[in-house]
Amino acid sequence: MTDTRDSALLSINGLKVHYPTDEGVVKALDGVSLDILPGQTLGVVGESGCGKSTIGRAILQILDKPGRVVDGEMMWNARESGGQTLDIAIQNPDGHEMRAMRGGDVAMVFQEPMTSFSPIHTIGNQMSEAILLHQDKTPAEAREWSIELMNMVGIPNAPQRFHEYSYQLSGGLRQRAMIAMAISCSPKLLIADEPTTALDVTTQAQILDLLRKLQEEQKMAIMLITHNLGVIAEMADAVVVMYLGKAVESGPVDDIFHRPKHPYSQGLLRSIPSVQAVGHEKLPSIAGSIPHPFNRPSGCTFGPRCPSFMPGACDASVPRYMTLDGTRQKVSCFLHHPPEEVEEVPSDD
Amino acid sequence: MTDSIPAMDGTILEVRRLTKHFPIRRGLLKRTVGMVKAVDDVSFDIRSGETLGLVGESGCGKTTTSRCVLRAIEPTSGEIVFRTSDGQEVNVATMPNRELRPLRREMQMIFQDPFSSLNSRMSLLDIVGEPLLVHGMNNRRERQERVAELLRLVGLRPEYMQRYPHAFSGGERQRIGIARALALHPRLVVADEPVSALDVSVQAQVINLLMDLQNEFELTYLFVAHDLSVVKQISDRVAVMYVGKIVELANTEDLFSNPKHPYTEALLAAVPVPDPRARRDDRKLLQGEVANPANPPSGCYFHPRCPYVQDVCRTETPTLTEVAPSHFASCHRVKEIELTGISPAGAA
Repeated sequence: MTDTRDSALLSINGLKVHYPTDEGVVKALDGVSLDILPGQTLGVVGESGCGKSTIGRAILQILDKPGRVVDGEMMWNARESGGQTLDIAIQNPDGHEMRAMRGGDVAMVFQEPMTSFSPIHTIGNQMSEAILLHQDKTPAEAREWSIELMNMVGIPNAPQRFHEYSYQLSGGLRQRAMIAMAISCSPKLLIADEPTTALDVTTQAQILDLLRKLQEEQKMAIMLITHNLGVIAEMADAVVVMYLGKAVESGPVDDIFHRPKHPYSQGLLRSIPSVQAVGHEKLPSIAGSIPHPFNRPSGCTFGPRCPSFMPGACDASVPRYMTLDGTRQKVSCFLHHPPEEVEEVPSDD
Repeated sequence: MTDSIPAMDGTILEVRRLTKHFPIRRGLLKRTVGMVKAVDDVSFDIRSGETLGLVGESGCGKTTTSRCVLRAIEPTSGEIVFRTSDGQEVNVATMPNRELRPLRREMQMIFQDPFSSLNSRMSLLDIVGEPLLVHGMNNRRERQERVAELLRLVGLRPEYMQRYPHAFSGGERQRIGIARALALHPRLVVADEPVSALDVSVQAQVINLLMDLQNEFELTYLFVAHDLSVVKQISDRVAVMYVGKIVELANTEDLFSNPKHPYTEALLAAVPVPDPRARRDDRKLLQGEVANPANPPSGCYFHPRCPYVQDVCRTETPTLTEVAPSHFASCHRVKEIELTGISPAGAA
């Protein structure tokens, strides 16, 4: 897919992030590739332990210790703004480039707005700090811009809130303040890691609406990391489905929801209850549970839970992650591109 | 207000005008400076064998209500009438603790967090066997057999009996919690957010298990959750709570397709639907935030956020009344306004 790679704002290829621990190496990311296009929303969906949050942290080089990038590239395309293409994967986390990028071109919104703010500094203080760090503004200008941003994200009484502490704000307002801080330097990419998971459903709808509005105004790309397929369906242009540190399928949002190719995506979509469902039929569920990180199955890691498991193929080698002919979907599954020595097996859908 | 919901035949639990106020204490002398009305005049029935879903946003009082039903916390006032297996009607709210204990066999609870609700220093045999021991099954062999049976029932291997909770995943731990709740053959099970801590693929397994067990043992569930799609999946009837009050109560299909309270409508509109073709750009978004239960607004608690608000809503508190057969709502304007529900998916 060289065509999208060229136009991509960020192109990640074969990214591996490992956490060496006393008991062994946790392969949080085990060769992930994805492209984020300018101005688009990429949904990254998966269950706990799939590595979706690790991607966001790897892009900003803020991995928790002892995690580190061991392989792969993350090409940041700065040509549009007159810069050069930068491989984030080989940058020094404390170097000038990364510090300029964090909170500048790339900003992040975290799940827990309570713990993401400092409890001993006012909201305004923290917002101004980010602005002063990245922009050539005086403290008074930074204050003014902070209050304008707070108005933009719908925080009532912004001049007063500017002097309040994070604990004085409700969950929804705190997340708005977090978003205001993230967009303060007009990022090209906003990484939102479970931005609404801790919020109630009506507040969630408000925050998603806000993100959509800001994206339209600021023309920024959003990488939306979540386990909630409903949120993905409402927000994303393209989707990456992850399982155990790998992307197993990706494509335009409509294709992923209506023509999923990987048995895991299919199972995941079937197993979610929907408010649109009729009656009380039993939910089809995926058998088993997510394996322990030290106990990864060989071959395709979804194999032991897969209804289409093919002995001799799926447990023998790892399927390649490649584009399906005639589609815009990428999938890693032997149902769709069998290994050479195995004959084609028709898919069961 | 309470007279509007007549008790039905086959009712296992009647909750009448239940309230729970928590005092707000301040200062050196811990003087009470106010009251949080966590549960504020709540009435509902649960019929034998059904699942009543209790849904609402954080702080609406759904968990407090469910805990009061089991007398895990003391209600401030109101009645909780439970019909025991021998046909007696007892008021759980005022019963002395001594008499409550035999009743606990019949009412059990499943908790939200499968990590903190299991003692990590106890083996499965001890965890699941503890209620058996407390209720007089002193023979260890007998207890082991019953625990093995229970583990099999919830889809765990009996060989795991000697293991400790840390060896199990979230979904498996929730199964252990379910096995413990079922140990004494309860008739009413209160499940407080039993699947919200679980991954999507595991969530479906546990919901299915709960539904299977209900069929097999004729269990009655009070199912507390904030996730409307999960509630829809499992409930026969649904009660929607807002700031300590039930604002709507109806059969599941009616409530979702034909809501009668503006808050229910807003909740339904806010749920993300897992289908990109169902994006609703024109949907009505609720403004503002949930009211403070320590200082609720006047009149209808929902009026500051309600798009249909009129003068009467600001001054008078509406009562829960039957607006259609078995469909209760508390809204002054219920007869005048047309609300939109969720239309079922087409050929999904």
